[in-house]
Amino acid sequence: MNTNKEMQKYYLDKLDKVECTTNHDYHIRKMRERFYEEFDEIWKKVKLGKATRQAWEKALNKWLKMESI
Amino acid sequence: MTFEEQGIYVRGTSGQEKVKCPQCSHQRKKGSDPCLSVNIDDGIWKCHHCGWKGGLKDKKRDTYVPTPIVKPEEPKTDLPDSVVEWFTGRGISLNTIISEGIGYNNRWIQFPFYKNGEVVNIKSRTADKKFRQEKNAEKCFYRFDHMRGMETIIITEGEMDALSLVECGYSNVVSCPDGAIAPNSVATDRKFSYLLSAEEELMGATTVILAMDDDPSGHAMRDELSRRIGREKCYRVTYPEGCKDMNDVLMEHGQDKVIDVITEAYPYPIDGVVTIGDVTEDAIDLLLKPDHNGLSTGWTGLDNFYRVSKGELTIVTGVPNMGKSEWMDALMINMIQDHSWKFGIFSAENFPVKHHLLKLVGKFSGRAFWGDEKLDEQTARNTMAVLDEYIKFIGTQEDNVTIESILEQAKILNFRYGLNGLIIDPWNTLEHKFRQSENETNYISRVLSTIVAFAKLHEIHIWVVAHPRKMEMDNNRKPVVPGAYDISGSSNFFNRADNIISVHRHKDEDDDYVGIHVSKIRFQYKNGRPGIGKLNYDIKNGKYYEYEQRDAEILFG
Repeated sequence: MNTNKEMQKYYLDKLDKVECTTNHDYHIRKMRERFYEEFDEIWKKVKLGKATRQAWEKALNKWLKMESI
Repeated sequence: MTFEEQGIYVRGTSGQEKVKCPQCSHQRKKGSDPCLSVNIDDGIWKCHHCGWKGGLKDKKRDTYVPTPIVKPEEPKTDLPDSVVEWFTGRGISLNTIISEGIGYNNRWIQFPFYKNGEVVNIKSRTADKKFRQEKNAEKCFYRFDHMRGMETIIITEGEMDALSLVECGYSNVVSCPDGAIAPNSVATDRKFSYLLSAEEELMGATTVILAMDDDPSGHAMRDELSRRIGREKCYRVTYPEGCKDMNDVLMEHGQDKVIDVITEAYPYPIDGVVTIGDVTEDAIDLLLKPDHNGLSTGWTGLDNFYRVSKGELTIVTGVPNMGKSEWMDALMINMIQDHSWKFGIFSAENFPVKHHLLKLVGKFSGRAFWGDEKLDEQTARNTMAVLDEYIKFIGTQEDNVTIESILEQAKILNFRYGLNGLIIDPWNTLEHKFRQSENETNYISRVLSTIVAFAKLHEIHIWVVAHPRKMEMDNNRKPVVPGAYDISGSSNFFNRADNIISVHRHKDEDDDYVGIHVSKIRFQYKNGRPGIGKLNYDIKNGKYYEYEQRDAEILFG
């Protein structure tokens, strides 16, 4: 399995385990969206070799934590 | 058993990988050849060179372990003539190339990063400006050892600029490992991680000359570095026309001009006389910015009265028990959620910190932190993990906290994490040290001047919560909203502050709301105009919401 597929698998596994909440607070939604965008940016950079796997994983965890609040 | 215990360092968490063999790679000529095949899912490995094979008893690893920092080998310094010519064409002599240990490998020019005499990282570039760095290497300034114990440190954006200065006789020169940052980007801590290893050197230096490139990215980098290091000791440089960095100056005008540029470095315009020329570009930037208003507090009902800008001082007052600290905390949480601001907070009335943290968790998550419907443990843990990045509690270990000690801690936090806001709550719990023959009025004037200067210097918004002089009652024996001149101490609170707010709970038979009485806004064109904003308070989670007229009973029970 190449790195990209492995990351996709890791991402999907993590996503499966997250219990997304129904918290619709405006500020929380805003922060969630921002964290997701940051994660998305890092993923693009990882694909271009401009960011590390560690940074990717950190951003993913940060976003998913926010999804579960 | 884990792969790490076997000396095998895999990057992923599943699948197949080829990595270096801990048994034979260090003895091989092709030491970097990844000869060990590892199946992470099955927990087994085999070396295609030495034949070493084995497996983990508990198979797959449970958690991802970050790869440890790797120290690269020193680069080979036998440079081909073409590379030496490339350097000399840019004004860098062979002597400098040799003294700086510049290497070359397969069309990549290598700049070794020395720290404590050892190579900890290598940045490589090609002639056509492609860059790369060693994987998992330590981040530190290029020429780190040369900043040790220096009173004056020159920081450049790239290695060629640093070498240009070395060529002109400067030794106290370092450069940033990752170059500049994009303008208007968020300056993440990761991007500035190399500052941490240089904290002692930069804090100890009396002068730091920032010689970044003369372009938007260079300016953004210069501004963020100066903000973190402290503008009182930072100097800027001006390049001759047509030059955008030190290497350009060296190539176009020669060594004397480079020395002139450094000699004529000038301080950030923070105090003393500022000419119009000093601030013209900053003013034009402000004019051209699409939105130069202060940031919203997160409550649209307050936007017309109070918005938050960097580098200002807001005094928050109010009758005891009207929710000054509660509102302050709620504002901080909104600024974190909406704008990713980072805060240092001294909140003496909320000690111990664990109680305060729980209140903040309630405000952040919007869920009750007490009672039958309180939030679950996992949500609390997740919230705390998120908040950890944005809030640092200060002044928690000392008995006698002074303004000076708070500002000192805030300065360090700003250097490490890049603070945006500082909350001092409340003023009267601080230990106030009057100077000889200094009365209270003079003392407050002096200390507030220090706070205002600190806010401007570091572009941090500071909120100071101060109690009113005394509680006055109206004809119905209800407390009167304290005005700007009612703050205990002196009228200097009104004079020195940029913004003044009184938090007051208005409760009668028909309505119950929290009034945010804004009595002073210095920069009204961007931060709103004095007036009264209304909010509703939810006692269960400690959050403030946009105002809706409701009966007192429904809200507060």
